[in-house]
Amino acid sequence: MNNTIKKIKSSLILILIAVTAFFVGCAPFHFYQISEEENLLKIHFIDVGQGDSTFIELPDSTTMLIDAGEKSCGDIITEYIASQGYNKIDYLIATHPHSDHIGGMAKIVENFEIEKIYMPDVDTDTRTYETLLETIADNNLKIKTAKFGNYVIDSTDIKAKILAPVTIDEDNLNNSSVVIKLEYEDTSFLFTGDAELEELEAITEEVYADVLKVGHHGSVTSTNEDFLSRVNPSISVISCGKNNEYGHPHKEVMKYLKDYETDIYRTDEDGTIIVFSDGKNIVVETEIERGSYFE
Amino acid sequence: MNKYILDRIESNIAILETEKGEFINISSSLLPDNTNEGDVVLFDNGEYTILSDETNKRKKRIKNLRNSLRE
Repeated sequence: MNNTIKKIKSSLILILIAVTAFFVGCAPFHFYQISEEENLLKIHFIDVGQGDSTFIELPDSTTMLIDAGEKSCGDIITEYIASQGYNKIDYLIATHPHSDHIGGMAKIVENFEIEKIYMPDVDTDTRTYETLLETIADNNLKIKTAKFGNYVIDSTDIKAKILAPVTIDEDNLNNSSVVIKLEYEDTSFLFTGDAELEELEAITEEVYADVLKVGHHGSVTSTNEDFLSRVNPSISVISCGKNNEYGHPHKEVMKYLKDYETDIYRTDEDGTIIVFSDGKNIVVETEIERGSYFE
Repeated sequence: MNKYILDRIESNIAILETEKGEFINISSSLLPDNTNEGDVVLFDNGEYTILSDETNKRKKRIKNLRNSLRE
């Protein structure tokens, strides 16, 4: 009798441990604690409506800005970065010269001290792009050509590597987008501009990342199941405008993301999205409070 | 008569830059089939045509500007 009771007790204890372990193991990423304020990587996917603008505060207090939305967003982005306490951009990246990515960039070059500028080796002929180049010239700055395989940042705990474009497509600027993978200790982030699947599939390096900026505002041109499994993101961020005319993000892409069970954030519904990393764990905050359950 | 520069095509919408540097959207089916990003187009009598010479002039000027900024 005693032996039976002992056996039941130890079985119950084992079950309790197993259940606790199960729940702890399944806790969503964003419930983990993030350690002290210093040495945090903060990635701000700024809500610029239809377009991209990602402001990154690096743990050593340097900054990166990837794209600057449309021309009308130059002031919003300036105010946002200034409100975070910065007057300098160490690494300014124009993924490709479409208006929804470089429109606001001339304002940024005027308003901030700029250290380095990266662009892919491709041009367009719009006045918007020409104005950006002229503003860069007026400020006595130069442009580094973004070449795949090169590092924008290469230090012990932080790396930012250019994975694409592998080849330039002069007739399709999206496919010449600069693709950057940022790594901070154990955490990784992939920024794809408007790169379409043709360009993404040509990338030979590892594209796995915890956080994916979903390409081309969630267009079907830039996301499929294969690419998602290559990246394997636990968090996916879409930057697009509310009720935009292009149907972004496309239904098919939303289905891929939902089936993949990645946490989905989108600027048209969440406003500005901030991703924090302490090198081990990742936490996400949104400007617009989410409902009591995620979609 | 109005001149525009094609910024890009999203699905079936062409995004054109006006001479004032603003942007308008039109159905991409209205443009000639072989219109490329960066082409200057003329809107006249309800039709769009590609202005190759002007496109090439702009391309050259911008290429030179970009080259002068290379590091």
